[in-house]
Amino acid sequence: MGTHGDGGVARRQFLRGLGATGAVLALPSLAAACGNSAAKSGGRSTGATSTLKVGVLTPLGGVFETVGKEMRNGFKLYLDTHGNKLGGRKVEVVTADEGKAPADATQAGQRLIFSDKVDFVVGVVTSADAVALRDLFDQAKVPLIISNANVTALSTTAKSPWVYRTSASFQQQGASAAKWFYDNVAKSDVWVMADDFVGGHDIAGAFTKAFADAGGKVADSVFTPFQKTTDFQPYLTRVRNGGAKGVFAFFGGSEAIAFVKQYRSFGLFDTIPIAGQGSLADSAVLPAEQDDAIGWRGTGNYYVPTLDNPTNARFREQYTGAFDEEPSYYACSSYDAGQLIDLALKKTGGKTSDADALVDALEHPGEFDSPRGQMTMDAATHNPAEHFYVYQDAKENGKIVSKVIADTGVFTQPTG
Amino acid sequence: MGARVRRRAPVAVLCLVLLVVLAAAPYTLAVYPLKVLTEVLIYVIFAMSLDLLFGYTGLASLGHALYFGVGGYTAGLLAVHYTPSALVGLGAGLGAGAVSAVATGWLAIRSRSVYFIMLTLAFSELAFSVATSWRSLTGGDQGLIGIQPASLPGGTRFNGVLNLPTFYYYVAIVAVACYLLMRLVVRSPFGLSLLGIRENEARMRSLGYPVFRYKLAAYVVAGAFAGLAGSLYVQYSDFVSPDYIGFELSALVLVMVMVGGAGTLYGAVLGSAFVVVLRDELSAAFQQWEAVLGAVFIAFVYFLPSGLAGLVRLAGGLGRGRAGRGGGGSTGSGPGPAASDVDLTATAEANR
Amino acid sequence: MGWLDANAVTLVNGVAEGMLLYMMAAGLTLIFGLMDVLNLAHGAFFLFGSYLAFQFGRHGNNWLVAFGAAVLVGAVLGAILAVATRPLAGRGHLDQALLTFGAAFVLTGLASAVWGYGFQSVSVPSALAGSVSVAGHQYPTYRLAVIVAGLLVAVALFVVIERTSAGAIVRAAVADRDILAAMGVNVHLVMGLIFVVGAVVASVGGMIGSPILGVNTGVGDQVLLLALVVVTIGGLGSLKGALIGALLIGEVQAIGTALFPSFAAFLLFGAMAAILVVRPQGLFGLVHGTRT
Repeated sequence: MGTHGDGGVARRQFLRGLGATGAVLALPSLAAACGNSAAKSGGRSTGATSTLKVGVLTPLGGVFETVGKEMRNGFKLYLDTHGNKLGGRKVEVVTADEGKAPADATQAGQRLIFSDKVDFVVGVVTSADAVALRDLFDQAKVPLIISNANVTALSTTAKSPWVYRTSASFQQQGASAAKWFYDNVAKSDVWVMADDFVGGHDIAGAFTKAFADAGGKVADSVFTPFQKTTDFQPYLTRVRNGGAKGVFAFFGGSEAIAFVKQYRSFGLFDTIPIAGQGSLADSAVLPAEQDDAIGWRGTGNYYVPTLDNPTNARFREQYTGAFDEEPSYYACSSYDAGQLIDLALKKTGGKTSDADALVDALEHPGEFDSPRGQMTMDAATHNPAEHFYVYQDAKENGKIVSKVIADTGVFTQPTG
Repeated sequence: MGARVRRRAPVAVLCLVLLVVLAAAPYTLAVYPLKVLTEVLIYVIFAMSLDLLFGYTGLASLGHALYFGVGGYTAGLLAVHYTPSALVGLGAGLGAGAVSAVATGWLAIRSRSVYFIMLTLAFSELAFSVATSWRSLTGGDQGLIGIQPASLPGGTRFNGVLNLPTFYYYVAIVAVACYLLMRLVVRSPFGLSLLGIRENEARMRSLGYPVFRYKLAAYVVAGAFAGLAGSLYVQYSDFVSPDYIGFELSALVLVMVMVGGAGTLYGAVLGSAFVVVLRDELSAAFQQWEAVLGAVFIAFVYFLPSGLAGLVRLAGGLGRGRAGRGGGGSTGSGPGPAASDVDLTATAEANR
Repeated sequence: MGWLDANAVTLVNGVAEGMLLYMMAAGLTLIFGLMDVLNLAHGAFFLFGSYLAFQFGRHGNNWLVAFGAAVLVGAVLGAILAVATRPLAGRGHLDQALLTFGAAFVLTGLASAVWGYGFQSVSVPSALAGSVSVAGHQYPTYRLAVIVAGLLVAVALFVVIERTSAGAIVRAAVADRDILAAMGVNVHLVMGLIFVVGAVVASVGGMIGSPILGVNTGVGDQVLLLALVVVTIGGLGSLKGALIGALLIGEVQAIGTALFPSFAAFLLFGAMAAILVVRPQGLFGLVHGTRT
């Protein structure tokens, strides 16, 4: 039995067995369908000419499904516009569900590595999933290209030769906003509001430090229960009573929607200037925020669909043509995840068999032709060196559009 | 006597076959199915521990993942800061599960029925918030970073890929040992008293049993085994995060026990294997797999009210003399599968 | 006095949150108290209500249609679950829980198939848009309307159950089904109607809550947990308990968050654990827990 398709055969036989007899009795059929045993384990395909298998690991359901879909679309667009080839090899995509918790993600990751025997995996939305997957890929020596999860530690203390990121780290995003905020929003008595999770503290901490370096002063920080806050009123009252002259905020998903709406409906938008991480009013939440998003300024964005450069013009046209919606930064970084594999394999001549050469190629892929503009891989952090932009939402022809209002320059994840 | 032997013989053969299958697995299974089997065995311990509480004592908990997670964090923190020894982690997980179960069970078992369910849920949610917000210790929502690969007895290191068969045997031996230990517990006079409490608490109390202490003991034993399962899971995945304490895992393990058939131990084995593998297969096959999973649960309620264990009993004619279904435990009412239960109360009485 | 001045908005908002919680919990406690069914699909009823508000009310002009749809869909879902749980009578709460847990998965899957997974939201009706001044601070008008709506639901349920002949039959059915059946009343129908009413309250609550809570597939689980907490604190099956429990939790969350922001995540379940440890049957529950 060949390497390819084993997983599929096993799955079908298995489900049939399941229907008939229940799980335990079906295990032997699974065993029969899989060629070699664990005791004499076989490796992934390594030839330079055979089909390249790439796993795409994103949530197929739940509240992050939309993000997952944009990531799948972005990666698919890179393949579609490059003859379905990466590094000269034809690509077979295996889709897997990141699920709702790290245990789901590792289960799916194991299936991709050991059953589907993929050569690369791209995707991963949440930071906890990324951390949980890190050891698995590190040990199996299969490259994981993270195209969202922003957990800082994977670029610092938990860096692995086998884990790369094409999005950005939390600290990078927070630090990139500080100088611009000082020049354009407020200089002192600034309050920071964020979700009480590691990413919230990373962004808030990096912002606070860089803001002090720029000459500003953060008065206080407010952290709200992670993924449990629907009502921001007590926090907003606290900020107002504290005499804030400016607010830097970071929320995402349904909390971003609630925050943006409530910041306006409790009357703070017109009295206390605010700006914050781009997820507050990005493509995932804009349809829900509607007019409440008008005027919002989002910082720390490595990509905004309205960026003016030739690569983005092409990317945006192709993406809207294929999927009938504006590309998001999730789509951009997943497009570039495909590009990273492509660039690296071109350096190794399509081979994945030489681990050292593959790692070296992933660390030094050269200049990207990215819709986000200038971008390189920072070999020290496995995280991009890239520009960060500030957008402001405005209404044009009945639609809310994020317009680029500033380029805050190139940032990398700070080391040490 | 002869009939008893004849009835027992097929069971013994089945057990032997199962042991052989377990022992041969690394030689017949590829890496991925062997990993799934390892994971199933860990869930088996976890589900059996809840069965002890739910199926045998009638205490349906919706916060059992608390002890799994506490065991996991304990083993994980030991492996980050002190020692990668798997056995030390295992023992510490067991101890941590027991200690946290004493602290919370002491408060929880004062409540009954749905209030008990909600109080256990509250404790696990509070622990979830602690794990999320105590970032310096736990790593917060992103989970604990830097767990060293487990060092198994004999010195081999399991790193997720290398030495998987050794790690599998380690888990399998622990799982079989846990099964035998829990079987010993449920068949002991103590275990029979638990059944008596499940069926008629007032009667047991009037007979002079210290019901509160018995329930607490059951709660602590269940917590200890859950903690042990949690430490194994962390050694298996080199990772632990607040989700290991959360509501979804608690609900999942309760479903495993119910689908398998509560109050039988081997039902928990079947249930955890079924749910783990079904989830895995469905999520790889359908986008809407959760809806399909929901439909399967509904089908179980209508067509297999005694769970997979009931199916096995039906097929093997092994039903007689076994503990009745425990699903009714939460209501503490109803004669249920009456004959055997009355016997059990009587036995408990006789054993005093 | 200074603190009160600064936090008057917080106190008012606690009431609004409490009334929203009451609308989540009322149907659950009704179904549990009067029908003895632990309905874990309750969050899904709420979810459907919020998606219907999104479907019909998103432009702020079709709220009557949304209301009608929420009543209709809630009634249909309630009737289906009433029929589905009837064979389980006497099999214990856990079997019902597994069945309705499965139903919640199926219903959530259905909602995501129809409306997708993305984050949606609903604008408040134009008549209630904008803000009013509360103690000198701007406060959203819609939240005051939520307080009124919650009070209306509470009064309506109280009047129907305590003051009408239909309510008398319901109370009799709870007290002794057999006698009522012997008197020629169709007990199954009465029970089914209670289930329908509980489901309708939930889906209408979902519609009313949607502008505040947002609309996405995660809302169902979130609401289920909150409703379970409120109902448990109040005492299972007690409508009065649900109302007081909801207001209590609303204020504990509002004031607690204002005073001890670092412990905000612990307030909800901490309050419930504290209450259950002191009163193991909830504030207004029967001493022996629930009937079986």
